[in-house]
Amino acid sequence: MTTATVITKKERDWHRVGTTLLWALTMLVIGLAAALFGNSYQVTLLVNLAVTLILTLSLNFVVGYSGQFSLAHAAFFGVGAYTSAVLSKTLGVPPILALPIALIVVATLSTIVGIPAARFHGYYLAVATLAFSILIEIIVRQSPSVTGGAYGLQQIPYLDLFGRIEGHAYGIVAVVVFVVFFLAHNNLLRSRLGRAITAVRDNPAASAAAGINVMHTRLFGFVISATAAALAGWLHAFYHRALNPMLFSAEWTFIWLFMVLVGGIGHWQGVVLGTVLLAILPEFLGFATDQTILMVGVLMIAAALFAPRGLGGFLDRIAAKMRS
Amino acid sequence: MLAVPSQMGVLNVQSLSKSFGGLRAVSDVSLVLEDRRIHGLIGPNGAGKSTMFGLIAGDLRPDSGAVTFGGRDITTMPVHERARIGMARTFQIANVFESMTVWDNVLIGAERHDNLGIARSILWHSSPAPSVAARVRETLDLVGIAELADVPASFMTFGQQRLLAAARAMAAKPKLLLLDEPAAGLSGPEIEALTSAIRHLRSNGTTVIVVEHNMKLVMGLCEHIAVMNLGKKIAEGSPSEIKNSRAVSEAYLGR
Repeated sequence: MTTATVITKKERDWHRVGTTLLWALTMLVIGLAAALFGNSYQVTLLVNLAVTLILTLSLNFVVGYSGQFSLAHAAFFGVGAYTSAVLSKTLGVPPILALPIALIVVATLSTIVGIPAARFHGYYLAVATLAFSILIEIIVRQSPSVTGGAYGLQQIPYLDLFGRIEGHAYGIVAVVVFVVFFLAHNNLLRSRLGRAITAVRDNPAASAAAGINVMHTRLFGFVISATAAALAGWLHAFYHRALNPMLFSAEWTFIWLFMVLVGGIGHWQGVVLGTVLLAILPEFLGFATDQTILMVGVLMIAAALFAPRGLGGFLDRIAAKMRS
Repeated sequence: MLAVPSQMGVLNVQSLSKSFGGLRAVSDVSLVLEDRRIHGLIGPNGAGKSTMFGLIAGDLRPDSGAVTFGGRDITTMPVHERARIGMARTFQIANVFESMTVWDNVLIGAERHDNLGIARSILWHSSPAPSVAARVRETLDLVGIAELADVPASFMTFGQQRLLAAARAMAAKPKLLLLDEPAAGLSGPEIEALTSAIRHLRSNGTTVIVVEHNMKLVMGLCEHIAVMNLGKKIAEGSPSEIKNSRAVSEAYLGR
């Protein structure tokens, strides 16, 4: 019986590693094909999709796996983008060097926010982080000398890696950045720390009894998710090369949250599919931006009726049927 | 001169008191848990056993008195730090990680969480060390839930969940294991598996304290028993001494 348990466990581990690698490879191939052969509109769609996937996976990480209802994702995304833009445009820092600085700035900011926030739960945390998000937007709008105020920042320098990166080349960079992020994300989920994060979500008292520092673990979940949003901000800033304070709008956080919910909260495969679906579909169906929210709402209702645990839960049911 | 305990145990409780409002739940109780022994803490309802357990486990802070573990004062030490220095415990309710498999539940108990290990968990594809995985397997076998390894904890019966919580505590190879009413809700065979697991741990060097209502279990398992009533320790000794103690039968049955 003992040996049987071991084999099952090993098989399951390999299956999971295989799943991650299969997804990474598939997304890499499709992404690179789109970057190389797509027209400029499709490349823009691809870069936006890579940015959005980093945002929804990291939002799903903090809300789904870590169990903290944070609504400050747009703020961390915006601060990441603006820090990158100001560093390169105003201070002349090379865009590639702006990346680690932007990540450190957002990691520091989210730690400062996260220390008191780690004591809040549920709705209280949601309200506190939403208030922070709105506060950041106001500060950005009220500081025109640094951020360009309501007009934002234009003519941000190009990303430069052995030459100017734009168009197809930027598409390739975006796909590679996303896939590296995806692998790190899945490593983290399967690590001891990933287990500890989910353990704290499931049962803080039992986690502490196992030697887990509940406060630190929660704080880490919050900060790593915010830092990933800054990575998305950096990727966004040097493609579009123009930013405005709309980037900070809490509406974005809700759109990403809808994508996470449609995909299936705490289910990364579902979140990837949900994000791809909701980011691409409006473009193909020719929806205007205002109607995106409407469509997302309709999809939410459909999900609640037909797939209450999102696309992820739906996938699990199909997989279970195929196995039996 | 200060009173020096005649025997220094693994855990020393020195005149602990704890009140809730006007109620003195624990009043000046001292206790020595000796190395490699299975201790029992019993008493009628309202005796203060659970408060005593909470004070030792770190859920509660005493109003006065001190708790030392391996010579170190841990009276105000947080629960996760107590776990890190070798104190494992269970709860009265079945505290399991519901979304996780049985295997992962016990793995979390077996792993050390002294640091977060951020860089390693992001950059590496890390599997648990073979020695840790072996300990998980061994513990699952020991409490008899090995065939459930891949089942989510939420699918288990209440008794199985309680066994799982005990397994998680045991997988840490603790110096001291605190069990809060471990037999509650368990079937006969489950209680047998649990007691043999507790004995196995003790023979491997773990000190155990069991707070329990099940008299048969306590009398059969424990080598040293302390009895509380109305917040005070009224007797302690071997099971046979406790059985024959007049103070104990009076506490349970009245004069």
